[in-house]
Amino acid sequence: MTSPAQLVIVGGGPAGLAAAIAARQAGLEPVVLDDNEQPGGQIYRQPPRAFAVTDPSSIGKDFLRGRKLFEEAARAGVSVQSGVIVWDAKPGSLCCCQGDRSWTLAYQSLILATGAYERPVPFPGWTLPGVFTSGGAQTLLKAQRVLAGKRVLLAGTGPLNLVVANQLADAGAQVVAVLELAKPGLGELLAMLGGPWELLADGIGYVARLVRRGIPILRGSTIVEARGKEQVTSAVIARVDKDWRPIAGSERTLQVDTVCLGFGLVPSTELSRLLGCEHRYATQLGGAIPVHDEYGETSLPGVFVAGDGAGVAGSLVALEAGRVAGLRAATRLGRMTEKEFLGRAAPSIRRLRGLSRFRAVLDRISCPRPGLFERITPDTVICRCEEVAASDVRAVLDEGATSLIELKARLRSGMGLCQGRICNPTLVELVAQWSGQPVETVRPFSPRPPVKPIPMAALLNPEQAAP
Amino acid sequence: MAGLRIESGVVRGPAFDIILDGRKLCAYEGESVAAAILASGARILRVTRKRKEPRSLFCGIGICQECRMVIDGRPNMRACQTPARPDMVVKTQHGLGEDDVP
Repeated sequence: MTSPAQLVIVGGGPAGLAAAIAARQAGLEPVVLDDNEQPGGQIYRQPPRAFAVTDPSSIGKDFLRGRKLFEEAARAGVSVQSGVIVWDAKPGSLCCCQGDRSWTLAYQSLILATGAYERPVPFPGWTLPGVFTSGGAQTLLKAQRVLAGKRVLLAGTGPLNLVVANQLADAGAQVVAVLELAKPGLGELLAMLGGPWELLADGIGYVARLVRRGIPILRGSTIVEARGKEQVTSAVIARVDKDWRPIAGSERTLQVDTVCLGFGLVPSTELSRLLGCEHRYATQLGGAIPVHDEYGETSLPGVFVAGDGAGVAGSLVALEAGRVAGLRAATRLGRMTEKEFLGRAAPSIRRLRGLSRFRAVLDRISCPRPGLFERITPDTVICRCEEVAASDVRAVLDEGATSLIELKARLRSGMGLCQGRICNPTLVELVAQWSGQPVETVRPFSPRPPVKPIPMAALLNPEQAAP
Repeated sequence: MAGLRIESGVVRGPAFDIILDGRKLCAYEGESVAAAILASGARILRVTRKRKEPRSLFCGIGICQECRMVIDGRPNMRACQTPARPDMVVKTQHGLGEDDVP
């Protein structure tokens, strides 16, 4: 093996790129690995290289923000290795794969900026074709310029649905309604006014444009069932109480061909968990998150986390936290003194503190409440890969099981190709609720390498050095 | 459901055909297999092993594995992560795609 890289950064989204820029400016040459064709992560996802972008503003604000960050990264001399999947992580080394090739990469310091994915929230019909995550519909729209459907209902909680509803309407879809579980009180709305102007202006703009278009935002409502045979043709919606429990008798049916689900995000923590970093459960941040200090350093010295993978907090936080982690890693590697670090990181740390106050309000409003899981019927699929229904889970728990590992052994839930990413967040909640344990004590599925599917050919011929 | 490709904002790469379940389907360079299929109005990408239920793209970012299809003879390929190529042979996957492995 060749000598270890001083700093490896996994993930080329806002946190990873900001970390790389900061590290470059501190004189390091970080190796940045990203599994997509182009950097940007989900939020700054670009159309494929084969598409020529003729009207950047029609693709959205985040496209432009992403372009700005890419230019900054290029100026700083950051290079990103695209199409690289990191499929295992050990203290001191990573296993990487690109196409049919694989290699081991040794590192001295590591920043995980692995992002997040949409919280899967089961209800009858959620597996029907035509039911997408809101982020999935948005990716299809902004990167591929394809509409997910024509008559669209959005349901869930949080700001993403407002963004996606506008983008779909801009692109010609008929948006039937946006269902928001939460009903923020006046106090919460006023507390939000203390937030950063950029986010506030965005949020107010999105709501105003929906109102102007006559698209209803139904607060305190949600979807309880998607119906259809081969694909979704209608959606049953209902009002919910303050714990998000559907109110019996309030149901009504909407004719739609597409449903988008945006219930917040779940951090991708497979690598930090494989490494053995300490984690804690924080419902409002998306679930199990790596414990880290104010500069992103985990319980393993020299291993940092930044961005949504460290606890879901959005792209503005990711940019600042990434920068701080990059500077901190450089400090640990002897590129600057403690005093220099504090000086250079100060503006970001200040902004992070301001953002966290605003974020706390949003988190409180959109934090999952017990009713979220009460639309699940016995026949509802919880584990999509292995087709495990809620009644299967209930039967195993009724026999005395109290953990996810027992569900895995009995039902294969979590053993499919998604490796539990889809069923884990729900099963943790169901095991807690149905076996009467606090959710913090329910151990999630352990990630196993390879954490993402890779071709067998890559495993058969590992290369000795990074290409 | 035709007309799902948005014409504003970008100029796509050159058009070509892929073969979906024996039929020609138009795709553009840069498009994912899933995008090309969804743009045509079709939605079912696979049929599950136990319940024989139709599934389509769900997360769109390569996490959920719901969009897996048999692509050029390789089963369990994520259609949302696989760029379409001229004359690519794509099949709706049944179960784990066992029947399509030589």
